[in-house]
Amino acid sequence: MRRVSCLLLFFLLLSQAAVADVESEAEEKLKTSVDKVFTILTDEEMEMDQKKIKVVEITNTVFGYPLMAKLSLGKKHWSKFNPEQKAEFTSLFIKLFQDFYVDKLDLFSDEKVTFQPSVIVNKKKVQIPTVLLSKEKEYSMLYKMAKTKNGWRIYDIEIEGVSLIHTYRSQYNHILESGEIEDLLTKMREKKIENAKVLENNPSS
Amino acid sequence: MQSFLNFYSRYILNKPIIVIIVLLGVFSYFGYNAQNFRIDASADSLILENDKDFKYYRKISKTYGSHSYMFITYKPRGDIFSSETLSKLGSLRDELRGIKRVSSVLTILDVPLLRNPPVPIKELISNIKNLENPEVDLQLAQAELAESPIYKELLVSTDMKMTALMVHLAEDEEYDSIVSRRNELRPKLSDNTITPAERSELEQLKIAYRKCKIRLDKERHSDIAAVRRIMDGYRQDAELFLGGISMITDDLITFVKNDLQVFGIGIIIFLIVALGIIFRKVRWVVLPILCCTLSVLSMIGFLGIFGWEVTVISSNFISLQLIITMALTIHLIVRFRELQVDNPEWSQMELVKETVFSKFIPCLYTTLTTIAGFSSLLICDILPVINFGLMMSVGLVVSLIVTFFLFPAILCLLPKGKAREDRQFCRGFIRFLANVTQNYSKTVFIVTGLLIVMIVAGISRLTVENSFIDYFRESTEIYQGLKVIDQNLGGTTPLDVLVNFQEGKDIPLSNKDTVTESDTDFDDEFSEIDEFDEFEEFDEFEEEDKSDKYWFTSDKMAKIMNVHDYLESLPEIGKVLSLGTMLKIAEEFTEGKPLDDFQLALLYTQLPDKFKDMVLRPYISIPDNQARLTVRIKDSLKGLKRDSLLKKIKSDLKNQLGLQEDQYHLAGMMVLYNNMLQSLFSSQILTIGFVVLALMAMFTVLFRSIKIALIAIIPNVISAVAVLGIMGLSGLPLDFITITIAAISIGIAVDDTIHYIHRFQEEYAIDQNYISSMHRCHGSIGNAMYYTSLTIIAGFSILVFSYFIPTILFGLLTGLAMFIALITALTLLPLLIIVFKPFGR
Repeated sequence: MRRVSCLLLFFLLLSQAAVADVESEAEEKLKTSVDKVFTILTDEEMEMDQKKIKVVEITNTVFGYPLMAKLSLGKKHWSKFNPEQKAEFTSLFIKLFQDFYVDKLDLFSDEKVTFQPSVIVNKKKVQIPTVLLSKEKEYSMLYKMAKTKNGWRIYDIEIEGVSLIHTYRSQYNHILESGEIEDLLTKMREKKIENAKVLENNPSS
Repeated sequence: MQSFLNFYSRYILNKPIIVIIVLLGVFSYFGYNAQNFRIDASADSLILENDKDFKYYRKISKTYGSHSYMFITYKPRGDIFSSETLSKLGSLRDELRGIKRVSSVLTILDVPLLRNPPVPIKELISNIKNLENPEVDLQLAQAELAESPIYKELLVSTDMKMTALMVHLAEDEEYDSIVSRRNELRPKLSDNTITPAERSELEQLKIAYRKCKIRLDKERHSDIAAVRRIMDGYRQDAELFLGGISMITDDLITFVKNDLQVFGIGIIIFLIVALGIIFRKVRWVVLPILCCTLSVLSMIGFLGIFGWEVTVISSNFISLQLIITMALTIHLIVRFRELQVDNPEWSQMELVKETVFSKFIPCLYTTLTTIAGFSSLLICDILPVINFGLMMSVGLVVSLIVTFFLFPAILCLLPKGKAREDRQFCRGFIRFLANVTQNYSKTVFIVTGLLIVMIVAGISRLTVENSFIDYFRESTEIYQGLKVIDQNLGGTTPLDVLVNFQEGKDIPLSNKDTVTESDTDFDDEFSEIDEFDEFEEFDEFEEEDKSDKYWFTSDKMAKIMNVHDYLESLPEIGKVLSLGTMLKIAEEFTEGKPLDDFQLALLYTQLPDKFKDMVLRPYISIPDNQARLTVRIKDSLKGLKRDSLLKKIKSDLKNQLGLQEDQYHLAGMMVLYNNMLQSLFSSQILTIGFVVLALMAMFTVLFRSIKIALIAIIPNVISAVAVLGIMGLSGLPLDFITITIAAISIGIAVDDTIHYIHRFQEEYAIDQNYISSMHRCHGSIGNAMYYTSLTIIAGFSILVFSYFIPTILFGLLTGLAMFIALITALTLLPLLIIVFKPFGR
């Protein structure tokens, strides 16, 4: 009986250590990236265009884009894409996703982020809740991270309960349910060109 | 028939007092039940149950909710943004809010101003102003309201000289629950899947609905009266009109009541005068009036007992029944007086008996032919017209029974009186027509030919385009209010455009051959988690796929916006409200950029439920994956072609906006109204076709000769369709009342034909001479025809006192048809008889 208890305690200790390891590794990665982004955004001397390039560089190391692309399509649709279509889709998704958050950087003013205790889903998935304080109002943000061979990567963000991957997923789903794969790719290509034009006409935005 | 006459003689004529006592009992019973007589002017009373567009409209109303409200248009003498006007507007609003069943009143004073001044959304949320806020900038407010996608043409006119107040009426829970349950059970009834318990529940619901509706009609009437009283207090400062479905329904009930009274009293006065002039004896005035009024009273009681409601279309049933009953009694009186002159030695009983016996068959036939005219209305597609046909058919049976029981019973008890020949007012005119028939037969045929050409030309130009507004006299508030709203506040006739976002279609595997299992492992970056199926590991996304917040995709929004902008571009369309309107407002805060999917989902989650009900529920249905765009059509626009407009919208949604046929649907009052208009032509053809065939069959049985039947029907058909020709030539469109004219006028006019041919047969038997028979007929029955026709024409002309234009036209045009019928019956009909010699050579 004693041996059983010891064994159980051992396993508990072991799992706690593993969990602590998961939590600290993922959280540290996220905190570092968020800090870096905030430093750049609060740098008054840096031009917005330059800030955007820097932010993209940082976020490239923390977002798991290919997985995000896959998840935004879902199993049902992903399996129907051929390798070329998958490649093009992933590349377009990454570009459009980057355009999306770069566009939102203009709204940044004096926001602050506080981290809350992480939730371990399993050894390869962790969720890190944070609170964004903006104009005396609090907004909940949940970072969802997964363990990859390159380390921990964000695969989804939920803001006030709205999942980014889900919004893409329902958008793509709607297009694919009422059209062809090529229709989706065409729309994404058009959106990419449209974003580029907007950026060209209004470089600071 | 003989045994019937024997029975009639033994029990009716020989026991007049008993008959009168029994009749008094019957009349008292019907008179008592007359208090349950009701008028219905709701949209329900105008639409066929099996109209598939109506079923769809009901479904849409249930999904998106239908709120009853009224509009008050307010055009001040001065500027609408002056402090004096705003303060008056505020006090008007507050007074209206004080009415018990008014749930809310929306004015320009209450709506949130989002650009006063323009600030980022974060700042706006903490300080939203309205026009009553002391810090508000009036100029900015004016500019915002003038451009606002919501309020422009809803609360302010495009010229900014008029504003509107939306008076929302509280929903009635009892009514809503009855209607909702009834609508659940009705399809089961039509599919024959209803259980006996549900059937009896449906019967109970019918009773409950009727009771509830009576209460609601009363409440609405008192609410509207209260609104009008309050409005009266502001008329010195502004021009105000009341509009809205509730008010139209209530006013229509008032109009119908007014029509029933005016027509009833007017026609009775007219009958008293006409009978007095023609017969100059009190008994010949009192007796027909008793028959007429008691027939109508019985019919009103009958309608009350069976819960049969009178609509705008059947509002002239009293006048029609009075006129037709009077025609029956005139025939009896004329015959009685003829017999009295010819047989001065006969007793009163013998005279009455002979009068009734000789007139019963022709009167039965004339009643049956008139019933044929009215019952032809049963085969058309318009519910109130069907009800009208049914109501009148029953009414005629009631009139026949009352006349043939009451008239002889009273007459038997009266002293014989002095025999006096009828006055001949227009003997010269009748003689003239007889001479024309005899001497100018070619001219009669040529004129008939020309008339036919005119009819064909006129009918080919007939249209069915009716403006609802034009149904009312210019002096009515319905007309004035609707006109103002139609022209300045975004149109009147509602149309819903439903857009379905189709999903569930399988994507074709265009690259099927190249898809392998290994393709699912696209990237090796995640090799650590590739050891299990990634999609199963991230099944959280599958679970939440149906969440409402992710419904709002940019692709759907773009589709809604496209349809919204397209509808707004059509000149026939006034105000368009949809989710697109809300998106346009949101875009004011994103520098005109459309909201992305994430912003849309976030906005949805952040929107309080109260606002979701206000700005989303009327315009989207997430469970149905559907968007609804509500549109108002400018009903009074010159040259508006309703059917073409609806067809154009459908075609453009498909070809211009790329929607598939099952992705859009048009619904609402505009569609139902257009369906009714489009059914007018077919209804007209069907009713005329039915009445002609029915009368042909009846004539063939009556005269036992197809030749006579044809001769009898031709002049009547010409006179009835002549009215359609005249309508076409004068640009009057067919409407749901005027389509009844042809069938009704044939039904009534053939009575004269029957009497004439009947008499001709008798006269021909005397000397086998067609010409002299014709002259004798003109001299005798011709006069009766002349009186009855003129009396009917004059009676119908009383309908010009209606507030409802189609009823006025019905009166005038039926009168015209009767006049043409009289002329053809005294020229073309005898000429055809003389030429074709149906009684032998």
